[in-house]
Amino acid sequence: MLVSPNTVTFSVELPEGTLDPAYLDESGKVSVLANAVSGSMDIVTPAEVAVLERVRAGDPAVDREAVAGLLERGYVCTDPVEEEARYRAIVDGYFQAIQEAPFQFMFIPSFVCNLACPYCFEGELTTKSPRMDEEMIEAAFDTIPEIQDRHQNSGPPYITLFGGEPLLDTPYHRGAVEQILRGSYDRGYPVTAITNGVALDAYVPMLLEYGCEEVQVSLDGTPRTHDTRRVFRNGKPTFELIERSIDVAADAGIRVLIRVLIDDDSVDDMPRFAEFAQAKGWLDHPKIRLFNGFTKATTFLYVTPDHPEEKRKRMVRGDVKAGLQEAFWRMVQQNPLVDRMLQPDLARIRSAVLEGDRLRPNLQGCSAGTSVVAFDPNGKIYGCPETVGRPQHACGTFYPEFSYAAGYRDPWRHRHVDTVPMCRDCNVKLFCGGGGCPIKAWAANGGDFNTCYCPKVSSITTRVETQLAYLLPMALRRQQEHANRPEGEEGTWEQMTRVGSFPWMS
Amino acid sequence: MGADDTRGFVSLDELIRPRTAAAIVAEPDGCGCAPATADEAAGCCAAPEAAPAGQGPVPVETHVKKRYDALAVQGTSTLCCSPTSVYTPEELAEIPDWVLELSSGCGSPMNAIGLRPGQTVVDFGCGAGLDLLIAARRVGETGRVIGVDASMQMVRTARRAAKEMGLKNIDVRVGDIRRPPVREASVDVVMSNCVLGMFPDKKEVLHAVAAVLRPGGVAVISDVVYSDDGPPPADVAAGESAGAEDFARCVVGMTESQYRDLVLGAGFGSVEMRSDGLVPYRDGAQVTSAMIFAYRDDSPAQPCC
Repeated sequence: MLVSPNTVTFSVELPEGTLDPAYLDESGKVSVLANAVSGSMDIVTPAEVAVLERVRAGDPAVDREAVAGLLERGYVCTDPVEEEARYRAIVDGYFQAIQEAPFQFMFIPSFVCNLACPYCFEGELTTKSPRMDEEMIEAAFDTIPEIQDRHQNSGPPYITLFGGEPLLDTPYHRGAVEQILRGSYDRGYPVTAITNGVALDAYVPMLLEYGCEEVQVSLDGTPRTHDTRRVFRNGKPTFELIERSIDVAADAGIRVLIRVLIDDDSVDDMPRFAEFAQAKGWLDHPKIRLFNGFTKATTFLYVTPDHPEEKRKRMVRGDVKAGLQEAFWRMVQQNPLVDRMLQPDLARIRSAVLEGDRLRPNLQGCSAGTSVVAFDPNGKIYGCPETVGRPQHACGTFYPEFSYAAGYRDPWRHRHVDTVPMCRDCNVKLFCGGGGCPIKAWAANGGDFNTCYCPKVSSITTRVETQLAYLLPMALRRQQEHANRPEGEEGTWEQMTRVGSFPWMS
Repeated sequence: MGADDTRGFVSLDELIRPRTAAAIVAEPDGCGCAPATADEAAGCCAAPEAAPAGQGPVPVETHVKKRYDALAVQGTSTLCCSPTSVYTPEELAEIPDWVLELSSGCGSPMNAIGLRPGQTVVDFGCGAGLDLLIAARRVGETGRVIGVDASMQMVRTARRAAKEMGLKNIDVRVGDIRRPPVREASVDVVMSNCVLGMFPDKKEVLHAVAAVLRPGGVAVISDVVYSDDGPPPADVAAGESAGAEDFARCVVGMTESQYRDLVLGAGFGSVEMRSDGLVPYRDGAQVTSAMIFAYRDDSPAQPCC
């Protein structure tokens, strides 16, 4: 009998009275066991944690009956070989999945953008840029099967218009965008656009003509906050224009994803913005979905493995904004409407906790290495959209000739929790995706992708515990509400959901 | 840097250096050899399973693609049949010589079907573009001809030919015909001249062919097929014995009834076959070829050919 290597004990602080005191340990916290290989997550008593620890210590006197529940849920196992095989099946399944997954190809007609957002990771690139001409756009389409072939990917390609701002209302942009949309349509590739939304409404007829079903725009909060940051180059406001574009696109049947950008300066504006979004009808609109993003510094873009070590380490850590996530959770906790608007899920456990889904292992924290490629207007290919326009991060060219740095790209593509030695032995690896941002790891560690750039393990644990502390009272409250309802009021679907839903409790 | 550079970190200067034509031929093939010419590439290794360390075997399709890339750079095909043996001088008039030199295909789908002005036609495995050029004349300015080929070099060759002949209704795309870059249910006719025989999983390709056809559409496929009544001809490879080189040379065949079952199983409504008999290849091999007419729906009352 041994503890599964992927069993994690999280210690969660809950508001007083949320749970029966029998579940609390000496410090007043509750223990939650989770195992992403077995897919289980359970609230357990201190006595059960003690049994688990006795198994971990190799105590031969552990009562099998006391272990039965832990065994059934996969927290302990009897055969390490079988346990390893279960883990290995997940790793193999991951490779199978990425070979068949959709592959995103981002077209950047030009880096130029009409806005001057202070946090933009493309920065100075957006003021002056070469343009993709017709021949380059054709060459980018030609490259798609070649790259899929090299990635052994047979999934459907999908095209994303990216920038700069791809939907600028200029003759050049209209021509280039139409060529990309037509090329995608004729090839049967779905197409999306990531746009600032300022001129989206003018493009809606063209997007509809070529079957574009989804766009993403960004807002920074209420008009008052948004228009201090996300502004035209001359400082003029943009909120009203974007708001109008969202309404025009959604009413025309295009799905609009609104990324709500949050940082220290805007986090407290979110409750007011949620009220605004509700009043607009966006929260219930079938074609609109809002989700959260965090602004970040991208100093890591400016270092490569040949820079001095001290500089590399310093620059890749430049984006850490201590305290933002804590402030975010505090704000959401006090504002259920913000939760309804964003349904935040930073630790990727929300559906497991609230919907009773199986806990899903996270083997790779970023899809850029496996299934994203960006074509820039210089003819270069990038693996990560945040690195575009920085030639030191290019992994090939698509124009005038095709070239692809397999030696650079392959280790990136294959990197996951099991290829990074430090992650392999870490038992929270399946909650973090392994090793942090691949580009940061590569830059910080002298050009080796199979290394770790990650926040400390304790911060991964804290991230899960913070979200559990947020979600558990919600889940328990729902469970209680179900229990209090008179018999017969519940529909079959509700009953099924309740039966499968977390939290399971001993 | 080559297209498959296996080194680690590369500087920008190295990265942006274009891949030259010479570099393509000199690159190590999937089998590990580094052929100096396309002919060497063609015969360098019969068993390309020896992949670079740490990688799986090189797929047959990749081996075939590399070979056609090399042929396009070389400018001459050594494979299958010369077009002068299947098309008349009138049909080949005005076609650039270098397209004829590069064309490999023993069937003549153009002569087997009556293309009409205004139709949309796609050629799966268009190579240097011979059939595209002939089809483009027949469907006229209101029609559209799409070529799909996995070899980027062949696609460039076909585009150059279309441009040189001033044919604006031709659109040539790089793509794998198992997952063709063609919108579903968007074409009237699919033609494919001695190409499906290069794919070990022919069923997958036939599914893709059926998917791009509009209702009422037809696929005209030239491929290696032999009689149900006897063993395959001496030069035809069949079943498990076929190797990557056999697929690249287009000598892998199957019986009529096997082919018929495969077509019907891929979603077609009906199929007709016409034997083209024994055809001589440029390299001296002799294979039995057939024209397969695969109708997306039931056979039309008046066949198209």
